[in-house]
Amino acid sequence: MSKGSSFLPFVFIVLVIGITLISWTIYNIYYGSSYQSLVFEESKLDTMRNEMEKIKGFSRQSLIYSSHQSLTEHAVASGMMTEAGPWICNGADPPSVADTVECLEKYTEYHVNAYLRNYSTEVPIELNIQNFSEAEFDVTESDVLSGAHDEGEMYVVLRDAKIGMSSREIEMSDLINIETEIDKNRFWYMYRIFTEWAETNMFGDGICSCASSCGDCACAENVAQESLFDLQNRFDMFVICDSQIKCCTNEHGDICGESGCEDWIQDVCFDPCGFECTDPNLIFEGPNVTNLTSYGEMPEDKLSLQAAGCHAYIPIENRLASVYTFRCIDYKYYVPTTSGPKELMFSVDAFGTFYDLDGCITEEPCTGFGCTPSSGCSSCTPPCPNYTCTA
Amino acid sequence: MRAVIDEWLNFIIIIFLVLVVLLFFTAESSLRGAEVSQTLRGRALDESASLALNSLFNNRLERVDKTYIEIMTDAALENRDFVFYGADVGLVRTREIIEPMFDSYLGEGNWRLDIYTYNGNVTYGTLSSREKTFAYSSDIPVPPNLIGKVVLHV
Repeated sequence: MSKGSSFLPFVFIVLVIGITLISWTIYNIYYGSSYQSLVFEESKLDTMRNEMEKIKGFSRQSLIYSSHQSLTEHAVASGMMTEAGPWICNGADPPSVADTVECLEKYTEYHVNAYLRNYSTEVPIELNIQNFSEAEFDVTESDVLSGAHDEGEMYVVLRDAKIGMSSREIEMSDLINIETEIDKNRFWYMYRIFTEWAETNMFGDGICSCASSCGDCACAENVAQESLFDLQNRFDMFVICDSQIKCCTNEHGDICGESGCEDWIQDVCFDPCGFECTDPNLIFEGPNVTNLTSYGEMPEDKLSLQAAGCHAYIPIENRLASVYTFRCIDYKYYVPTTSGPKELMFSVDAFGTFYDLDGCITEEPCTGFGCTPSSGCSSCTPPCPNYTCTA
Repeated sequence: MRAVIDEWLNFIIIIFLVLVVLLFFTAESSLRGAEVSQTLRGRALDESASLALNSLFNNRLERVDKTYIEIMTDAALENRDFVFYGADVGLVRTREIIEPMFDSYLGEGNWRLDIYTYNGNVTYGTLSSREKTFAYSSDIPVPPNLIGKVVLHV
């Protein structure tokens, strides 16, 4: 009896301990695994949130680079991609701010989406990025022309990219719009100064004067140098300009005309006017100035004036066409390029092509019967009856 | 006498079992504590590394008006740790801005940051590449329309 009574409490205690251990284990298996999955899910959510933040940061940085990239491309291509005509086409013809902005937006959107297409992640999630559908430069003509964007200070907005992420248990998506400020880029400063310079039309008027005063390509070169001097003086000390001849031609046409300076339509030395924003190329080759080709100057006019006692002044049509590239480089702020920050280069063409029916005047001796000049379209001076013509 | 010995034996077995149970619970708690602590430390490390990486995209150097990642990328494109931004802004030494920031986030000597572009790579920080580290990386845009990488080792 005494042995049995001492054994029972022992069994009871062992049972209690056993049940406690089993309950503990079951509880832990259930609670532990749910806790584990909760932690796992939380950390996966964290990872996805971090990835989302990374993509936003990446997109914002892409927007900064893409904006600078577009501005650099447009600056080197006369402010317009890619069919950019001269800013002086006999008269002033710069592209409008609205057209330039529209083209900038198109290229910026293209570049940002190109960056995004290359984005990848090492996190084991499925990533689906839908392109930005719109880029917007907050730039107006009045702001540009008043100098408000001379130092950059423009906001660029990207809209409506959709980022989707999914793993086995979790899905996450976000519609992102990004806005950033582009600073320290003087594209619009150079645009403004070039526009003001083009509006004075010193180059076009100068070529017209050359055509009207029997000028040739040397005269055109002088006009280009004077225009360059005027352009350079409009910029501050951080900008250095130069000019290069693309083409010049000079001809003499009909004689005896009397008209003033007119536009000369020809196709020898021709730069098509007007601007068109073409679609971006798939490969960006970086800022590069178009190789300038010099066509050389036409042979100088061989007409020589003849001194004669009795002579006639005979008008000859003078034709002059000239295309110059004016290029200015801003050393104040460097902008991103493929090989690190470099100076911003803005390049503009100027095109002048004129003829004047009496642009050149030649003297001819009055010879022969009736005392008329050989060309026969001008009266002799002094009049023949009072003057004996020399042979 | 035998009954007394049995009682004592039972008592010792019960004490032993209670001790085993107590030890089991203690070991279990310690293990759980270690796991939780490791998880928390892991998450804290993830957070601080992600924060540090994201701050490269968000922090701007006022004088230059550019993000840190842009300055680092521009320098790496020239394969060096400084970059010239024109006559007005002048020279920016990237080590002088990156290293103090990461030292304050992660502690001096506890990190290394490698930036890779197609034109050059630059390494910041003093953590040896031979040490066992955790690596956190992020893609970065590199003009023109290309991708580079920034890798943080902690």
